[in-house]
Amino acid sequence: MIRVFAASLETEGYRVFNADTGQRALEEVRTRNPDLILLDLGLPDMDGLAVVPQIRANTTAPIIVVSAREQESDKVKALDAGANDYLTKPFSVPELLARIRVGLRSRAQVGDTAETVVTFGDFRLDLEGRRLTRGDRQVRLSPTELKLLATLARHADEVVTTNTLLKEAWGSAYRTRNGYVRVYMHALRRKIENDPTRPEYLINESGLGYRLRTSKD
Amino acid sequence: MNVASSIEKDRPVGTEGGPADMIIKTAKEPWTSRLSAPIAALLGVVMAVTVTVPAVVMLGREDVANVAILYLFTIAVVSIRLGYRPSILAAVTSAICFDYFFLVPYHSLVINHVRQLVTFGGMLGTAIFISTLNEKLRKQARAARHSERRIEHQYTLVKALSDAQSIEALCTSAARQLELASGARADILLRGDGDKFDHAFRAGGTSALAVEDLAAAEWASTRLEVAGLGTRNFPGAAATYLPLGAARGCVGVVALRPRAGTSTRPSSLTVSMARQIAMAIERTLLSDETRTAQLDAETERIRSAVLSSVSHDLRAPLAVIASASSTLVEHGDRLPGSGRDEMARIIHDEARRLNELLKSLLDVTRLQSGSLHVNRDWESLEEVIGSVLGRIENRAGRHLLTSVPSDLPLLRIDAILIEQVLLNLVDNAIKHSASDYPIEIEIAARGVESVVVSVIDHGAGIHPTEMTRIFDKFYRGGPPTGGGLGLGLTIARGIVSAHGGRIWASSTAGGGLTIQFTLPLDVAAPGPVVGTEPIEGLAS
Repeated sequence: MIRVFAASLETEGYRVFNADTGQRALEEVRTRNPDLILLDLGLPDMDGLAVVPQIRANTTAPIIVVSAREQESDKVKALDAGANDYLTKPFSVPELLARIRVGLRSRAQVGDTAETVVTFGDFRLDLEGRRLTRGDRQVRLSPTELKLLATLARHADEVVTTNTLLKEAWGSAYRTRNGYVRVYMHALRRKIENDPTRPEYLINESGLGYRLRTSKD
Repeated sequence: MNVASSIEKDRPVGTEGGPADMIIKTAKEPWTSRLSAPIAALLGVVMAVTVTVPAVVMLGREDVANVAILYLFTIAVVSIRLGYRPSILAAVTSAICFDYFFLVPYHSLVINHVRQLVTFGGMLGTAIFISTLNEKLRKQARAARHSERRIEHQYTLVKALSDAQSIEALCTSAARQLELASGARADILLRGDGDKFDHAFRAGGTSALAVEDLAAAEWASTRLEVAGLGTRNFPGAAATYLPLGAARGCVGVVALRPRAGTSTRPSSLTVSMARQIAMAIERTLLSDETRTAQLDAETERIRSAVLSSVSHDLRAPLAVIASASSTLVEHGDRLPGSGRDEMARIIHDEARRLNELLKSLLDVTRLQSGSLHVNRDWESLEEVIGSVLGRIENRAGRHLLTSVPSDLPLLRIDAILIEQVLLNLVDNAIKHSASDYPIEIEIAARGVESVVVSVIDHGAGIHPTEMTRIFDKFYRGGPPTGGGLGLGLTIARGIVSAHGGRIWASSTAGGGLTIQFTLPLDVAAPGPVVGTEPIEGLAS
């Protein structure tokens, strides 16, 4: 797989290092301090899931997990354990590049230079002032709706698991009550989207969570 | 003469002994036939003597002719009632009495005249003739009764054999018939899978086989000879073993445990019944074998047809990928940029198609083996539709009309699986309708129990007789457009069933196909949020 993509990535100006095993991957992360990590969940020696928290302990670089389609629960666990986003095999080069771009952008967000305003379409979310405006009109949101939207905005264009959303909006005690999130996302869609059945911004990732799409990537 | 026509029970056949052994249940049972031989003989004599008295008193010594008739009558009665020997004795006694009391000189046994000899001889001769005739008739009646009984047993057996639906039923009723016919306890033993005699069918009760019995059974079966109790081979066994020999060999053995005091030799009736049972068993086994063989052949045929069709469908995209990539390898540098792009695009598309096909196969395999894991959670159908729309409208460039009520409650479903169902249904609709007709997805609540999702196309539709067949595995209606193994609807049905719903097809009004499925609603669904709470710290 790497062979196929290395060429494209290098064309885009990235430098690519690869490791065949989880153990080697950890070493590479420690020594090279990469800007972004692509992790295949089907590693030969270690359970891919186990590697995620270990990498996360060593770096704040974004981790994008790659897995086959039928490993939905693995993806959720990986995301909850610290991964930022995912790709499903087989994926295309544009998909890969888009994810990488998003990941690198979000990396730039971490720290003091975090963005306080996120825009999508003609919406503008002021994270500090806690307001959502469309054009010049304000869109009224309940506190919970706002918390959810803010969480998604802080990870703009990255997938946020339902568990994370629950934790942010209600606290850890409400883990696994996915129904709540859905109800509120339903309401948010009604307020933000032109066609709730064809969302442009509040994208639902089946079995995983949601993603706020700010760019047309 | 009494010719019995009722079936006799408790009758030990195989003992062609004297009257004492035969308990003949007839309509009128003569008590006289149960008498022992000496008593009967004595009675015969007594009767002959007794009748002399009224003869003398009523008829007088001169009425010789009538006296003779009286004696003959008595002899006839004795021969019918008491049997052959008593009647012969009675005849002799009567002749003596006749001579003594009615022939001159009286009170002496002397015969003076030839005429007297004629009378005497005639009476004796007639008496003996009557007795003999009666005896013959009695023997014939007995034989006829015996025959009739045999035929009854055979008939009942044949009926029982033909009524039986399975080997087990067949053997059990056959054993019962054998018991009724022979009076002995009968069991039928068949060989089990281990080639041992472990399948026993008894008319009642069970018991394990002792070593001696097993040996006897084996002997009977392999040598086609009677073995066990009462024979030269393994006489220590608890039962007599008759082989059940049919055309192809021995199918089993009959174990007979005769009642105490009765003969251990199986009667000819038992032997002939055993033969019939053997044939019936063989027939049933053969028909079972034929049926299994037919089924196996059919399964094999379907399997190889499916295998060849599936491998063809999977090979097709691979072939395209192989040739496109080989073109790139061989002529890549000589192709214009657009040509290279074309090859690459082809490879990409075919790889995607292959991936879809393999996924369908995997899904259907998982469905079949029951290992499909349904991960239920509170999900919004609106979101599921959203995902489906995203995928379809990107890929196929077809527009879909949707009608989703805004107050639809959440459902406990596996979102990914239901998404698959909708994708399969919409894919199906796309394949079978032209692009100028829209495809519609409608969701409606059906009372408080379930939700109905409908995927409606306005294509050519299908014949009413195919409405249920389209859900069959590998069913492809008409020319296979756009590839696909014909598994989409099968998988959809499997997933819907796993959720406790129903799926069915119907014709769209105005032409086309509509496929609908239900999903159960749960009363405890978290409800939709109504209204909004004011935002804290609101400035404007």
